[in-house]
Amino acid sequence: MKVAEIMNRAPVSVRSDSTFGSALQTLLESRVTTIPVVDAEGVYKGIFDLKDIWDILLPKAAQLSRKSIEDLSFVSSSIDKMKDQIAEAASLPIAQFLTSEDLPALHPESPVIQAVLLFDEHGETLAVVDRQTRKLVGTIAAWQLLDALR
Amino acid sequence: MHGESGAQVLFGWNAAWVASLLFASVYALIIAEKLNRAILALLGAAMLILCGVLTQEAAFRGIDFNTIGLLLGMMLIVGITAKSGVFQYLAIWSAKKVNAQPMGVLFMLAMVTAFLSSLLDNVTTVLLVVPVTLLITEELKVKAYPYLIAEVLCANIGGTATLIGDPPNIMIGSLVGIPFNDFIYNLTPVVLMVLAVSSVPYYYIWRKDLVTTEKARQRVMAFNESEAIKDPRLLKQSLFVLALVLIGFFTSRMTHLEPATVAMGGAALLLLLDNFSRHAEEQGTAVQQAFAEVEWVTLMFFVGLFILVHGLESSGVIRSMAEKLLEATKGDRTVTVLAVLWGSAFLSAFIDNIPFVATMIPLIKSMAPAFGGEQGLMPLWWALSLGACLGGNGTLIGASANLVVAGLAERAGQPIRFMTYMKSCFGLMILSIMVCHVYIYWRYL
Repeated sequence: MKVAEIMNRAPVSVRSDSTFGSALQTLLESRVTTIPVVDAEGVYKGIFDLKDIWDILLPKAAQLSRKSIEDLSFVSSSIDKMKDQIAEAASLPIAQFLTSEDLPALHPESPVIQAVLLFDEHGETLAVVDRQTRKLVGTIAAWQLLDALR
Repeated sequence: MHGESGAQVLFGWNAAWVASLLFASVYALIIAEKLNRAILALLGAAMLILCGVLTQEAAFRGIDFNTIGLLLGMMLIVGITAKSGVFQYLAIWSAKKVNAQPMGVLFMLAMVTAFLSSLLDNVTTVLLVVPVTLLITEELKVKAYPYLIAEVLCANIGGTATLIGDPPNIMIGSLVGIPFNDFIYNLTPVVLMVLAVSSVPYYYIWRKDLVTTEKARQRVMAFNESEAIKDPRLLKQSLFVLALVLIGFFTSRMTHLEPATVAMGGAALLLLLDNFSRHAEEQGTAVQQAFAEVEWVTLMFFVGLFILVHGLESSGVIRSMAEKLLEATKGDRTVTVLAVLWGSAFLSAFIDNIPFVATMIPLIKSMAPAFGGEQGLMPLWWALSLGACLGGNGTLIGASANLVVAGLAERAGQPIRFMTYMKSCFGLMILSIMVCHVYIYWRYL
């Protein structure tokens, strides 16, 4: 089975020149946790997802890898402060949140097992792009595959 | 030409030349920073044996296992202790003690760093303190780098105070056989003076940048440090072992226990206490994790380096270098001591102080006859320690703690630039050496 057979052909996406605020708004409205980012020509640029939002909320020190803060139970926090943090980040360009090195993406003709491999490594929603133009042609979510397996 | 204990030098080359050439090449490559220093030191050591300057047996005699054991033991103890969360507790507690006022927090975190670094390795200390610092400065919405730079400076200054605080001191204490208490008696007073004198200009450099809001200050005051203690049982065990180890160091003159015995004994005891109640399988994982925390790169670097320096020593290079240095200072002790202090400081600001001190120790030892025996050398050891440890504060690449903090700062989005650092710190380093100069002159010369 090919990815093309089960993918969503009309995916919600955001433009790479939009802001963090508008991308967050799109997430909330479409009730998805992952959203592909495309440029003006529709070329796939990366993924915006929940992790980008958690990175805004978490202190920098908790995001350093080695021997950094592993437990935040002692920190004071409030919903108001988090709202402030989100509001401050609202105008940041979305391009800043894209990890560009490897944008794991499927092609419509990829076998489904490749989707399983990427689900295992990269999370639950994947972008499907045209092999030549790298334009976004769809997305495939984990539950779409699970539906197909029923 | 014969190397030590009958080793045959390849092609009949001169052992002194081969040893010097290998040593200089390794040194140059360490400075170039293209290859990991542990690889270079081990490769140099292997070449030394392959070229026949040393036999394997002679090479092993050059390794000071007292230094290696002390470092390894302390790394194990600190690695396990850190899991209890006690160091984060200490940092938060100290910040709240001064009502989270930015300047007060800067002072307290700097003092905590200096204190911890006098007992722990400098790199370990900053790895423990810097994440909490970033957390507090982010809440206070103040720049992190005045804090991070103060911690770099204090890690290096505090580490100078005791035998176990800094690798140069560990080497001097171990290879020369100077007891733990002598370091405290001779170096702690001047370290306290350096801290006091340095904090004045530091205050004036940064005071304008450190302003926060009442709201931000309250957020830090709302931190609950007791939540930072993750494992109260482990906390008690590790504080108990740390206390035992310190008592072991303090009483080493009476008990005739070497530092490595004390540290490794402490590490074994703490591993036992931590794993006593675990099942065999769980123990395997926990012990593996404890050993994985050890900085093997540093230890292997020491091993290679000791062998390289031993090559220089056994082929007579160190002796002739010492003779040259004595010629230059005309055998005057005052001139030699002060030359060692300032020379070590300037060199250590740019190159790694560990290989430098490893080379200087046999060199100074061989000056004993000129200065009336071993007792006459004592001021030279203190000058070497102070110069090599404090000199590291001069530039961002002067000591390993500096590089570690720079790396953490970079990743936290608060990069420290080479020139920014040097502008404020090179002068402070000179000032600290001036304090040492006066102290050494007044106390020993």
